[in-house]
Amino acid sequence: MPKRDRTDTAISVPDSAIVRAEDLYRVYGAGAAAVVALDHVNLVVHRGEFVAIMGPSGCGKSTLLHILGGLDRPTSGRVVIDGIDLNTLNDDALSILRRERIGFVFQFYNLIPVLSAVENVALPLLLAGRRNGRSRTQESDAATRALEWLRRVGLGDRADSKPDQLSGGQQQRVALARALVAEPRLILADEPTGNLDSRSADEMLRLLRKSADDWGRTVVMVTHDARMAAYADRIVFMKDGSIVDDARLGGESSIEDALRRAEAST
Amino acid sequence: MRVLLTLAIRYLAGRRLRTALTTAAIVLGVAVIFAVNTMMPSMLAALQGAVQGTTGQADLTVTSATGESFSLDALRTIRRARGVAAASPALRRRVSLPVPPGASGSAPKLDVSGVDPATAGLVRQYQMTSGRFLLPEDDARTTAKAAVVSAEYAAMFRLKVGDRFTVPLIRGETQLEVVGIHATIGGDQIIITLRAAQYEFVQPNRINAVDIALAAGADRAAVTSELERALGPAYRVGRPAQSTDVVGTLQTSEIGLNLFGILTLFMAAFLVYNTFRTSVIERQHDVGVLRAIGATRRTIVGLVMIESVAQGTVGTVLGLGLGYLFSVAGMRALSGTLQQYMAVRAGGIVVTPTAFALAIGLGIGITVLAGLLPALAAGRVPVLAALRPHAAPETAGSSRRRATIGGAIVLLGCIGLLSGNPGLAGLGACLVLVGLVVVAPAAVRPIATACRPALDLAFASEGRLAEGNLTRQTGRAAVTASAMMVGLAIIIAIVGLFASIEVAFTNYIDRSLASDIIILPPAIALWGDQIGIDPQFESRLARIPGIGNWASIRYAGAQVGDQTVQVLAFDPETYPKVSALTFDQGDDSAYALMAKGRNAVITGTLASAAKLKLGDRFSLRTPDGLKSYRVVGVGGDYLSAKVNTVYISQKNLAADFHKSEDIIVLANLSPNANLTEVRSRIDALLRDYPQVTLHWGAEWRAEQKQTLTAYLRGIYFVLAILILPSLLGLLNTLAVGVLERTREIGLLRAIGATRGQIRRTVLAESLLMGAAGTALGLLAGLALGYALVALMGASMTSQIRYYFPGAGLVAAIAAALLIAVLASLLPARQAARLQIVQALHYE
Repeated sequence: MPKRDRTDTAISVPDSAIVRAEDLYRVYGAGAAAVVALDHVNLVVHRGEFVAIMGPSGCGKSTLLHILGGLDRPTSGRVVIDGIDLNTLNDDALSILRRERIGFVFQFYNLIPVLSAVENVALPLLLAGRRNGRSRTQESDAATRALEWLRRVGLGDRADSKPDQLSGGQQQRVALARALVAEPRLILADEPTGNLDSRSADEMLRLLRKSADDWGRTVVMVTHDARMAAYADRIVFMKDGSIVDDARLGGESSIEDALRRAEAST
Repeated sequence: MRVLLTLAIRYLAGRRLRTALTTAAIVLGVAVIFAVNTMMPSMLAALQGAVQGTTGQADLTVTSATGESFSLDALRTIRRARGVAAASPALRRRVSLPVPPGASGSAPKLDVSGVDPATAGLVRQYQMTSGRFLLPEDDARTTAKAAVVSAEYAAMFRLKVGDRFTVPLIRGETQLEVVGIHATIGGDQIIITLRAAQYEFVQPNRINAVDIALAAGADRAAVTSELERALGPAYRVGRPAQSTDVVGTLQTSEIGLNLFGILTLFMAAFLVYNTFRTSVIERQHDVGVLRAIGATRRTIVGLVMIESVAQGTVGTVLGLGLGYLFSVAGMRALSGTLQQYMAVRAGGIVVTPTAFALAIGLGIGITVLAGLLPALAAGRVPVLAALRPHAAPETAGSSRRRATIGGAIVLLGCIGLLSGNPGLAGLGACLVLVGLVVVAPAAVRPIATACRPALDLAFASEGRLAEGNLTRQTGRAAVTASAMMVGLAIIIAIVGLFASIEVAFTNYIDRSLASDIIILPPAIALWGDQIGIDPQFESRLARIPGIGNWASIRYAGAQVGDQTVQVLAFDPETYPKVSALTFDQGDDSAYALMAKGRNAVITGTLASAAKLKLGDRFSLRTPDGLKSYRVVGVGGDYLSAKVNTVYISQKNLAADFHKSEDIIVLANLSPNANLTEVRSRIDALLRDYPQVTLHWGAEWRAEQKQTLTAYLRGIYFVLAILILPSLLGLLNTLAVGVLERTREIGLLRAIGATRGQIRRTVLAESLLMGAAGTALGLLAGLALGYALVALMGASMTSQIRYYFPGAGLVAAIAAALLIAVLASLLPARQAARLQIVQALHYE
């Protein structure tokens, strides 16, 4: 593994790829109990794309997402996010990367229960405040921006509500606003609709779609729901730690075609 | 960073009960430390004020280093010193006043000062409110001696100029006549001529203070240095010598109370550690979220430390306030005792920067340190692990390793304990404690298994569930058991120590002062502040029909090296007939040796402090300089058990200390004595000596034992405070356990477990952890107690031997199990009230 510095290390990337995963290999455990979660996976995601990663339980899709987001490190291989090789980053630098360039949306919302909606949304900005020099103005700006993003996701009137006062769908929208508030280039969503009813799920996916179309983000989403995957531009299918198919989409019928193709290729 | 502060405050507020209890532990520890370090200076200041009130604002005062009297030769040396404008000799003693008829309680006290009328006014201003000050011709009076009294004394006894009154002095009731009344400064005062005082106190040509007025422009420090050089180490220049035994008693108490305060803070630290550890586990998911959205490890550590600092600061501030209230209440409670036994008026509270610094430093410092480990642990958890926590089961290998290492440390500790060397015993006790903490996780499983029959009897299936829960998380259970162990160990150790002291002192009481009749001043062991009775009393007592053997004890203050000592003197021929010393080294043949030459018996505390043993020679500082004595025995009795004491013959006391007043008289009844007659005759005799009281020996000894027992019981009650942190430690761990098993609890309820069964499972788990903590605490406590007794025995007397505190242990075990039950109530309720569906979906 290359030496990890505290500072970002830019690697020149001549194309529009925002995510480049090269030969990712991830194994858990050792010996007879070893489980290969990712088996030499390669993936490129271009700026502005909305990519859905699908596959059965245990196929490694969440593991891939976690590694792309710097939440986990591969056993071997490398990930380049927006020109930065994650292998060269130490823990602090990874944290800063997640704060500034990546927004996460989790299945179970993962809001801080003691903070209000607007405080949850402002968190990435406030955590960044120390690095950039903290001031009352910056804290006030963070609150303003957080409120703006809450309005954008339709929750401007619930800014002061605590998570336990919001429905599941509302909590997930707050989580999305938090993921977007720092204007990251990349949104990583791990089963963002897994805990939502169908209406809330559709609403969430529309917002994710909007993130890509209107707000200029690249979205990589893990899902097991074909209907949700239909919102994406592209579907990557995984099975047993490998990518088995990678298809562009054009409507729901394409989803079924893509699924059939994926099953046939395994 | 404001967001961290916001999070910290909200987390603390979100668990109010736990925050309050943890903060309360810090408050208590800080309050005790602050109160102790405030009350002691306050009491010493009051003492100093009383003494200064007696000396009355003289520029300087010279006293002997031992507080005893000295010859007038010193006065000549003082007057020759540069910068001394005037020097006036004085002889001051504290006197017990008679208790008014029908009144209860002991005799109040006042200061009687003998001054030179010709020179007293040159060193101090006496503000007369009526009458006149003393004159040299007052020495010629043949009837009532002339006296100037304080306005407060005059008001108390409704005296005016010309009135006559009596005061009990060494030669008995002495008649005085008021010639003047002065404004009260400090303690109550009666001022008589020096010659009259020398006669009444049986101190011919001797004084115990010289008050000095400095010449205009004289440098105080320079004069002080010159006087110290000229007079030598036998004298003290500047502040008057305080009652050394009172100061010694206060300083000993201060050490003990500070130790209690530190123990309380130590338990608070353990509790803070346990609380923060629990809190970090509970918030692990939130930590994962924060890390996922960009918080660094340092940020997480900072978040936990902010909580720690906040709690420490709030606890310290409240503790300072509570400590001040403790001081005020304590001084108020003690003011009666101070006035009664030391004639000292409790003044205001003296708050020193040291008290503040110590309380604040310890309060915040210990809390911050206690929160540091959990904070660092929180920062180290990988992000994914925090988001999806699952406990890795402890491997059998690591458990065996802990058991081996911990067992080896315990074994080493036991070797030290049984070595016979007190230092090694102390080290051994610490090793046993550390070893038990290391072995605790490995001990949880076998203890749980051992408790299985009892659990099956009481809980059926819930017991098995509880045992399974515990053995899956032995690390967490061990932390709680260790917290309980430390608390219980301290309690059991102190219970064992006090039980051993109680047995030893009870034996002492039975052997010492073993006579049928004991004539005593109001407070024993503060001899310097008591006025005795003249030897004529003994002759008159001996003439009473029915009195058989008798003996008396006399007192003086002295020094051995830098150790303050009390000198107790008896007639080696008569004393063994009515009482006895208990010897650690030597035997009764020491009495005969005491009668010849300068031979002494010393107590174990002095032998230990001055590194003396049988046969050694040592220098005793007396008013006449250093005198060489030989140790012919090491031992003591009830009067001297905790104090540096030298026993010499009364002949040597008279020669070296010029003292002949008795402070205690012991007598046995002759066979067939008429008790009523003897009592009546002694009462009549004592009318002239109201400063002492008659006690029947058997009753007095029984009363002393009861007082000792009551005092120790009071300490046991205070010790109960130390068990409270264990309560919260258990509560914390159970709460985390409930949280982590939310899904499992949901499943149990879904398949038919009742709320009552869930509650009983949590209760069973709490009892198991309590049992583990109790088992370890018993072992640690017995080891620690044994070591404490060994240390005390080495430094005081070998008569203190370890006494197994059976009743105390049973009480401690019962208390621990009660704590386990109480700690389970809240978590059990929370577990039982979980909504099934929500619990099943919990992640």
